[in-house]
Amino acid sequence: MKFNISCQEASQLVSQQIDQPLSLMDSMRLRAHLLVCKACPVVHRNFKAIHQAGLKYALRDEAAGGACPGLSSGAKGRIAKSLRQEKGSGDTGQL
Amino acid sequence: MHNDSRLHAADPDEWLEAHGDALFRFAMKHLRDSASAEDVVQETLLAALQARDEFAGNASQRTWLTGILKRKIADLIRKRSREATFENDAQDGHGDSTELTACLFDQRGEWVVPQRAWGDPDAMFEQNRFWEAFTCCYDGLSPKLSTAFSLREFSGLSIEELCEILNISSSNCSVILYRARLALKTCLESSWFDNPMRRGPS
Ligand SMILES: [Zn+2]
Repeated sequence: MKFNISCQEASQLVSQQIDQPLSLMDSMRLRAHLLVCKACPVVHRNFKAIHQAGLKYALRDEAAGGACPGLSSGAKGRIAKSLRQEKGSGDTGQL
Repeated sequence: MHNDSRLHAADPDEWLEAHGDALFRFAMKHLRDSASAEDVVQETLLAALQARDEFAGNASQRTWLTGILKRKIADLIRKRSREATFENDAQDGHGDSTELTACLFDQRGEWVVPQRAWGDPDAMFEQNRFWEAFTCCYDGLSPKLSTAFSLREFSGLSIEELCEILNISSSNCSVILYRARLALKTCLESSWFDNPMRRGPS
């Protein structure tokens, strides 16, 4: 296996490193590449920003005029009904 | 966020009112289909009802319900990944990756265009327009890429859990996540970073 890697391989390792620790060899390859490459350190930061954005996006509530409204009233009604049935059937002994 | 310290009344109608919409939106980000998202929310609330005695009063109700929802979403995707092969590239449709890498890298694997810094992420996250762009770019991902990205980043699953749910090898998992990030990066750069309207005076 060669030591010098391309930007394509380096960016792949940058992504992988967000999810799991790299092997020692890969981590050395990546570090060496980031030292000599102008582009990949930027990509490194941008990928990390996307990672952070993903975490935030999950819990972001776009209730205020966002693209995704909440449950439709039909769905709410169906769910409420199934909950009431379930509660009715399993409620003996509570309270 | 609701801060109820316990499920005193354990009134399911109350959970639905207080958390239903948020749970639905969380599920939609993973499943992108309202019928499936409604189903998992219903299953979540039913499971919560059955398990209400296990609710520890020290967690918030929303956190507890979201934890159950994450498991329900993962279960659904696991089931689907076993019915239709997730690795089938033919189902990807547009926006996927082999072409994308061909555009972004030359034959030696060097970036074709110079890479530009985005600036401070926290400042970026303050901007509503950034989130509009992010939503749009995320919605443009193929189902395969968005499913993997959502389980990893929104549900916070480990790569091992992700591979098991998607029923694919670990290296394949990494490649899919890489493609998703690359596609998001490319899309964000054209829809947000190249847009002169994106910032106020700076
Ligand atoms: Zn490079």
